[in-house]
Amino acid sequence: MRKNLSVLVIMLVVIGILLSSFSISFAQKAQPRRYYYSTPSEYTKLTGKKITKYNEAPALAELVKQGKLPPVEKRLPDEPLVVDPPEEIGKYGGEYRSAGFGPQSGQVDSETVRVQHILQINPDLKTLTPNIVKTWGISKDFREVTLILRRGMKWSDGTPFTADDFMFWYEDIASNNDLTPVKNTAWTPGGKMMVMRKINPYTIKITFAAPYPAVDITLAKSYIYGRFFAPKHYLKQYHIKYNSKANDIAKKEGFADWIQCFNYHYAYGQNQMDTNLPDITPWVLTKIDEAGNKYYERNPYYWKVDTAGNQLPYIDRQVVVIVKDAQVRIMKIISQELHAAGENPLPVKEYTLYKENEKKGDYTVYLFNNTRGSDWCVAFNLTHKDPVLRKIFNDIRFRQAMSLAIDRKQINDVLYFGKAVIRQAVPPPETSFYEDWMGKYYIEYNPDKANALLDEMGLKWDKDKKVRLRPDGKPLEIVLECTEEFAPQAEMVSEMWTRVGVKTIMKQEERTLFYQRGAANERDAAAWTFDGVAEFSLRSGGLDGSACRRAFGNPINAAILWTTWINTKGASGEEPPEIIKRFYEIGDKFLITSPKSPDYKKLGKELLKIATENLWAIGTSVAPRVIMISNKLGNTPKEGTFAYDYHFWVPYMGDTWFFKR
Amino acid sequence: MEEERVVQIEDAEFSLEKEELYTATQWQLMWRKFKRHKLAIVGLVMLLILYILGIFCEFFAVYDPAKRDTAYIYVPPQRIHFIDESGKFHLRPFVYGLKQESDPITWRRIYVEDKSIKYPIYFFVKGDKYKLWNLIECDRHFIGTKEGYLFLFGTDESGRDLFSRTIYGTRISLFTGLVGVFFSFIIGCILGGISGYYGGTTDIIIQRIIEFLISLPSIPLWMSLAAAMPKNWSPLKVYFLITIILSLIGWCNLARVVRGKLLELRELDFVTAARLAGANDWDIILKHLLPNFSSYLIVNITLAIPGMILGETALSFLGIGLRPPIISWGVLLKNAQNINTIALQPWLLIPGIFIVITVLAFNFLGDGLRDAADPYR
Amino acid sequence: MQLSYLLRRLLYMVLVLFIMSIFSFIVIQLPPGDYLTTYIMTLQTQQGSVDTAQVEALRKQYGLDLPMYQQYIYWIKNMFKGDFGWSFEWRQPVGKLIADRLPMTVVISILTLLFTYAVAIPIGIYSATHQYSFGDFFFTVIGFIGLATPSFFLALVLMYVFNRYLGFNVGGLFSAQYIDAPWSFAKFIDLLKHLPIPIFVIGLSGTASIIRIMRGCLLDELRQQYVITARAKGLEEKRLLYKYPVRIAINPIISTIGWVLPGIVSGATITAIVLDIPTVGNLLYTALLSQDTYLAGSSIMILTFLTIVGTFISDLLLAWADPRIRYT
Repeated sequence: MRKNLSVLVIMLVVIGILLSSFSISFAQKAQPRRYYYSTPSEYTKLTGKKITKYNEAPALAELVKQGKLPPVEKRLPDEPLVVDPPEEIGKYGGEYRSAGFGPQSGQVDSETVRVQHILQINPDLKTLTPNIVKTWGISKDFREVTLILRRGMKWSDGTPFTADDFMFWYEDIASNNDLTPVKNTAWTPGGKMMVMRKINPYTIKITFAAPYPAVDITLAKSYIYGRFFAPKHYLKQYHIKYNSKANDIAKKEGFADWIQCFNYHYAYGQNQMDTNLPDITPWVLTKIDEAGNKYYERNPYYWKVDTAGNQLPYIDRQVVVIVKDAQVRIMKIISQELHAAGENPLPVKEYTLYKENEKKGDYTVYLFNNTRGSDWCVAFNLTHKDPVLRKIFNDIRFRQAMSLAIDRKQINDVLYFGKAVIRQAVPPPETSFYEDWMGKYYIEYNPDKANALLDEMGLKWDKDKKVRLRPDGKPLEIVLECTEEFAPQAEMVSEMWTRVGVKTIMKQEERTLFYQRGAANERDAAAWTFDGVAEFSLRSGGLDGSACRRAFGNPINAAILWTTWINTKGASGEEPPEIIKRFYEIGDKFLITSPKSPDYKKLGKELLKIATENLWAIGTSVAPRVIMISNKLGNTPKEGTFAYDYHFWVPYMGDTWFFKR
Repeated sequence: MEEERVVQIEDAEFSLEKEELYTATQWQLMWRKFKRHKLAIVGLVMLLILYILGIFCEFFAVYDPAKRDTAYIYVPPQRIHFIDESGKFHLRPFVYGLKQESDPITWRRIYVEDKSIKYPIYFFVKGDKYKLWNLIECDRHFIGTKEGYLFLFGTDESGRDLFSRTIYGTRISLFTGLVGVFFSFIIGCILGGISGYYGGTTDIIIQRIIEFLISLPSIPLWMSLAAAMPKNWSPLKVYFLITIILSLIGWCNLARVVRGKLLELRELDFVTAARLAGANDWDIILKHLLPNFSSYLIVNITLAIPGMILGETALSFLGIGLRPPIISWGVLLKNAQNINTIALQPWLLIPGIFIVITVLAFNFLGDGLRDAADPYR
Repeated sequence: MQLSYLLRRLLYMVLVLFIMSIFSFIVIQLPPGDYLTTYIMTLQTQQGSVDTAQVEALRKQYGLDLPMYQQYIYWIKNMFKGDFGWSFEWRQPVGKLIADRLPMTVVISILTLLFTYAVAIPIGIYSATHQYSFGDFFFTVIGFIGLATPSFFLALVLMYVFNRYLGFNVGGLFSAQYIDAPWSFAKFIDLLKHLPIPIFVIGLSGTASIIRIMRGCLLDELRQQYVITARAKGLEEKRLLYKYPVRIAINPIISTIGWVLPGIVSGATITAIVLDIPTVGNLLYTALLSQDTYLAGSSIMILTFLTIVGTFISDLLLAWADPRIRYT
C-alpha cells in the first residue's frame, strides 16, 4: 500500500515537473515578437543584451564635430525608447518622397509615417506600448490616467520637453475658449472637460468625469485628438496670456488678431504652415515651396534608438509632393518619383496597371487588410419627410428585400476582379465579439425571396408589371444619392432594385451637396462606405463608427431626426422608437466598459446583433487594400492592415524605414 | 476656270451646258461650286451618316446600351472573320465565341477566341426590344448575331457594348450643340452689325459688354451656374439651360469680328453709294455689308458647332456636364480619362475618334460652303 | 492716338474690373454653403460630430457670418492696400499664392500665344496660297484633329505615351527629384522636358482656329481687285503677298488676341489640372471646388485683368495696323 502511494506521489511529481517545464517552454514560445522597449534598461532586462554606445547620422556627426550640435548622448533623453526594427538594422541616408492631394489634405503617406502618439500601436494592431511617455497607468475605475514622461527628452530645437508643455496645451489651448470654442468629444467623457494636473516636471495626471476605458485608444491616436502637448517656449510669444503684445505681432504678420495668428503658428501635421515650429517627430517641417510641396528634415533630438544604439530615423528627409490629379500621381509612382502610396484607397480596379508596371517602377504591390465593414453601403432615410416612404423604409422586410435583391457577385466581378469578400455592412471579423452569421446576414442574391417579401408588404405591381405601387397608389420611386467615388456601385444597385419593382434613380452629387442634403433630411437613400468600424473605433466615443452607430453618423445620416433628438437631449429632432433608444443606451454603456470586463463582450455582441438584424445599413463587399512600396526601402511591411482606425502607417514603424540602395 | 470657259465657247457641242451655266440660279451655281470641293462632299456625307445614326440610333445599335453582362468585362473589339480555321470561306461573316481567362499574378482579363463556336452575323436581326424615339416599338436591329455576342468596339468595365453606347451617344452629342450655336449666331450678327455700323456710343457700350462677357472665365462660370441649377432637374435639362446661357455669351466672339470687318467696310464706296440711293441702315447692314464677309461667318459657324460638342466633353470632364446614365461621347470619354484605360483598354477611346471625325466633317463642310457661297468668283 | 481716348479706355477698364469683381464674388457664392461647409464635413467624417456651436465659432473666426456685401467691401478695401484676403484652404495670404504662380502662368500663356501664332500664321498663309494642294489638305486635317481633340484628353494620352515610349514623366513642371534642387543644367533640362506638352496641348486648338481664319481672310483678300492689278503690274509674288493682303488679313487675327488669351488661360486651366502645373488657373479651380472665396475671387480678377489688358493691346494694334479704321 505504501509502496503504491509513493509510486503515485513520484509519478505526480514527475508529471508536475514535466507539465511545468512544458508550460514554461510554451509560454516562451508563445511570447510574441517584441518591437518596443520603453527604456534601455527594460531592453537589457528582457533580452539580456546591452546597448553600449549611441551612434548618429553622418551629417549630424559632422555638425557635432563643428560644435554646432551637442553630442548624441546629450541630445537623446536619459532613457530613449529602444526599437527592434522589423527586419534589420538600417543604413542612414536617403530622401523619402510621397504625394499629397492638396496643401492640407491627402498626406497620409508622409504624415502617418512621421506621426508620434503618446502610446504606440504595435504591428499586431492590439498591443499598445508606451511611446512618447516612458510609462503610463490607468486607475481601476478608469477615471484617472498617469503619464510619466522621459527625463531629458527635447524638442527639435533642443528645448526640454516637459510636463509644462502638456499643461500649456491643456490650460492655454484646449481650455481656452477663444482658441478652442468647441471641445473634442475625446476630452469630455461624461460631458465634462477632463482635468489635467502637473505632479512634477515629468508626471502628468488626467482625471475624467466618467469612466473612460477607451482612453488607451485616445492616447494611441493622441495626435488626432489634439496631441495633448504643444511647444510652450515657442508658442507663448503668440499667446495673449504670456505676451501682451500678441495682437500687435498678429497685425504685423497680417492677421486680424492674436487668435488667428496663434492658430497659424500652432497648426501641426499636414496643416502645419510655420516652418519654425518645433516638434518631436523624426522629421520636422523646414520648408514649404510655392507649389505647396513640403520638406521635412531629420530631427537631431529624436528620442528613439534601435537595438544597436543608432539614433533614429535612418532616412534623412521626407518630401511631400503636392499632386492634385490622380493620374499624374500614378505616373509619378511608375516613374519611380514616389516611394510609397497607400492612401485614398488606390482603386482595386487598377490593380493590373500597378502590377504590370512593378518592374518599371521598382516597387511591389501588396494587398493589405481592409477593416472596413463594407467598401460600399446604402442606407434608407428612416426619418423621411414623406410618411408613406417613411413607413416603407422602416419596415424591416423592405430592407431585407433590398439586401436580397443585390447581386453582389456581379459587383465583385465588375469592380474587384472577383477578389473582394462579399459581406454585410458589419464590423470586420477580427472584432472580438463578432459572430460569423453577422457577415453573412441576408447577403445571398435571391430576387425571388425579395419579391416575395415586397409582395408580403402589400406593394403590388402596376398593370404593366414595371414598377410596384405604394399604398397611396403612386409608383414606388426612390432616389439613391452618392458622390463620385461610390457611383459605379450605386448605378448597378439601382438597376437591381428597379428589377424587383422599386424604381431607383441614381443621382451623383458633389460632396458638399451630398453632406448638406443628408443634414437637411432631404434624402431617400444614400450610399457611402461602411468604415471606421474596427474594434478600436467601436470602442472610442466621438467617431461616427463608435458603438456600431455608423449608419447614423455622418454623412450617412440614416435617421437624422432621431440622432439629433438624442444628441440634443430632446431639444430638437424627433423622438426615436424604443429600439433606437435602447440601442443608444447599450452603446453608451459599451463605451464606458473596459475590454477586460466580462460585460464587454456581452454588450458588444448585443450591439452588433441589433445593428446587424436591423440592416440600417446594407453592405456589399470588402476588397483588399492595394498598397505600393518602393523596392528600395527596407523594414517596410509586406502584409498588414491599412486603415484609418489604426492610423494607416503608424503601426508599421516608419521611423525604421531605410533605403537599401 | 478661265481655261474652262475658253474651251466651252469654242466647242459648240457643249453649248447646252454653257446655256445651263449662264441661266443657272445662284443656288445652282453654289451647288456646282460646292460639288467641286471634294473634302466638303466627304464632310457632308460623313455628317449625313452620323446624323442618320443618331436619329435612328436604337435601330443601328446592336444592344440596349445599358445592358451589361459581367462575364464579358473589358472585351477588346472582336474580329470579324470570313474564313474559318479550316480555311473555308463563308459569305456571311461571323465572330467566334469568347473564353475568359485571368492572369493569376496581374489579374488581367484575357479573352481567347473559342474557335469551336461560331456566331454568324446577320442584318435586320431580332434583338433587344426598343422604342424608336420612344414611340414605335420594334426589335429589329441593323446588325447583330442570333446567339452569342457581337462586340464591334469591345466592352467597357461593366460588360456593356461600346458600339451600341457610342451610337446612342451620337444622338445626344450631335443635337445638343445646335441650339446654342443657333442663338449665338443670330445675336452675334445683329449686335456685331449694329456695333460696327453705327459706331459711336452704341459701339462703345456694346463693346464694353462684349469685353466684360469675354473676360468671364468660362470654367468657373459653368461650374457655379451648374451648382445654382434647381437640384431636381435632370442632367439633360440642366445641360440645355447652361448651353443656352452660354450661347448668350458665345455671341461675343462673332460680334467682335463682325464689328471689326464692318468698321473697315462701312468706309467703302459702295456703302456710301447705297446710302445716297436711299437704302435704310438695316438694308445696308444685312443686304450689302454682311454678305461681304459671309465666308467668314460660315467659317465661324462651322467652328462653333464642334465647339459646342467639345464644350460638352469639357463639361463632362469637369463633372458638371452630362452624367451617367445619360450617354454622350463626352460621358464615354470621361470614363476613359485615366491611365488605366489608355494603357490597358485603349478601345474605350473610340468615342474620341467619333468626336474628331465629326469636327473634321463640320470643318470640311464649312470650307466647301465658304467656297460655294461666293460663286461669282 | 489722342490722350483723351486713352484715358477713356483706361476708365472703362477700371469700370469693367469693378463690375467683374462684384459679379465674380456673387458667382462664387452662388453654390450653396461656403468654405466651411466642406471643411466641416471633412472634420465630421474624421472626428465625429461637429455641433452647431463649433460651426458658428469657426464661421465667426473666418468672417463668414457677415452678410455678403460686408465680406465684399472688406475684400475690396483691402485690395487697395495690396491685401487680397486670406485663403482658407492654403492658410496663406491670397496675394502671396497668386504672386507665386503668376510668373509661370504668364510665361506659359505668352509662350503658348507665341507658339499659336508662330505656327498658325505661316500655315494659314501657305494654305491660302496653295489652296487645294496636298499641303493644304494635310495641314487642314492636322489642324482640325488638334482642334477636335479635347485638351484634357490629349494631355493625358501624351503624358502616358511619353512615359511609355520615351521613358520620362511629364506630369507637373519638374520631376520630384528636382523640385527642391538648386538650379542646375540638369534641372533646366528637366524643365524643358516638361514644358512642351502643356504648351502644345493648350495651343493646339487655338492654332487650328487661327489657321482657318488666316486662310479664310487671306483667300478673301487675294481675290480682291488690287491683288490682280498688282500681279498684272508685275509685282513679285512674295512681296505682293506680304505687303498688302497679309497685312489686311492680319486685321481680324489681331482682334482675335482678345479672345485667344482668355481661351489660353481657360484651356491652360484644364491642362494644368490634368498635368498638375502650378498656374493661377489651377489655383482657381481648386479654390472654386472648396469655395475658398477670396482666393477664387482674386484669381478671377487677375485672369480678367490679363484679358482686358490683352484686349486693349489688341485694339491698339488693330488701329495701328489698319489705317482705314477711324474712331468716331
